Amino acid sequence: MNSVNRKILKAIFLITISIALFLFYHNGKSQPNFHIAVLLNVCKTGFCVLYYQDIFKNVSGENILTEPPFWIVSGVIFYSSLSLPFYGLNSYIRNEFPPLISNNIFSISNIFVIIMYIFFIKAHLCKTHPHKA
Amino acid sequence: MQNPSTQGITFLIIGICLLLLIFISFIVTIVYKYRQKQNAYFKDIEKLKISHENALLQSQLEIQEQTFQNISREIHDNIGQKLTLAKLHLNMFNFENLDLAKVQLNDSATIIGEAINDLSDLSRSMSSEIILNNGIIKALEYEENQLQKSGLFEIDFSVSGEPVYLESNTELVLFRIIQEVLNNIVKHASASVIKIHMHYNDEYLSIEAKDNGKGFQLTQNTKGTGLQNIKKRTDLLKGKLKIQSIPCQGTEITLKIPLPKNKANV
Repeated sequence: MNSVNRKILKAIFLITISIALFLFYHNGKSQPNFHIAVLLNVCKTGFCVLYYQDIFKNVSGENILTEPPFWIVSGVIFYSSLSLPFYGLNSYIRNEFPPLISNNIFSISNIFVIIMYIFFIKAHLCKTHPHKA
Repeated sequence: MQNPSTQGITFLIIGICLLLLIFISFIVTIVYKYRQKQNAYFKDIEKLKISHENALLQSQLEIQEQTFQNISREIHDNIGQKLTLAKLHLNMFNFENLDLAKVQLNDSATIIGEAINDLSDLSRSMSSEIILNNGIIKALEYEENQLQKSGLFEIDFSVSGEPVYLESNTELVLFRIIQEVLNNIVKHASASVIKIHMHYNDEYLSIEAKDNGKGFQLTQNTKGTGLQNIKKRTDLLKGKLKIQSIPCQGTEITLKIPLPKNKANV
């Protein structure tokens, strides 16, 4: 990874940590701020894109489907990119959609979390049972 | 007409399916593109391997050619001369003067004996068998003994670190490099002391060859065939070559050859 990418990586990391700390501090004090959640997901997606960029730069002989980082990053990008519209369009959904949907919209996001954990389990299996992965 | 709730759910399901589809396509594309790049990477490695093998073969042919030249020169200049002298003695054999005949016979026998020894030394020094069977250290010890025997040089050969096995081809090329260095010292350096030190590190093998000869100006003589051969062979082993020479003070040649990652100690 070159120095520019390292700088970008550091910046994204710092932003993510700051947002996470902000959310942690404000948790329960006020209504959740969805704009910050959007920003957080964008940062996480940025991290993941950097990973993909990096694996394309440093191609090795390893099968990518047996690499735990690939599954972890895919899980994270899956959750952050797919839940992004739900956070971003939250106010639109609340105004335009019937209460049945708008009140339960984050249940779908929870399904994405479950799928993300399935990706993590796959990553773990790659490490513990490399021949089956 | 659908009610707003059903319409919303349909819209949501379509949206989620679309997002999932985009994600799956993204991952499939990443894997596909990565595999493509990986295949190109494997092809590059294969090409590099083939070109390295070709270079190795080329170098072996050059070494062989040089060996033939050395044999031819040695036979012509040394063994041939001795045998001619022995023949001369035998031609002048005098049956009438038995005492003189005895001396001539003894001289001839001594000269033929020397020629046989020279032939056997030549055969051993040119053969790669000693390296393949006993490794480079033993082969270099043999070279050291040969030079000591000549009585012209004070030679010091030492090894430090933990010696490791190298591929026989690598050892052979390395041995020929050192032989070339020694040849250069014997022929051109007018040295009296030769020091060779081998050091095995975790990552590389370094070989230092020093002499106290007349040295040379690096800019003038670096284009000599001998040095070019040394450089070419060092490149072949992916090694580094450093030549330091000061006129009237001697020459120091340092070789650094990377060691394989999965190495076994000798």
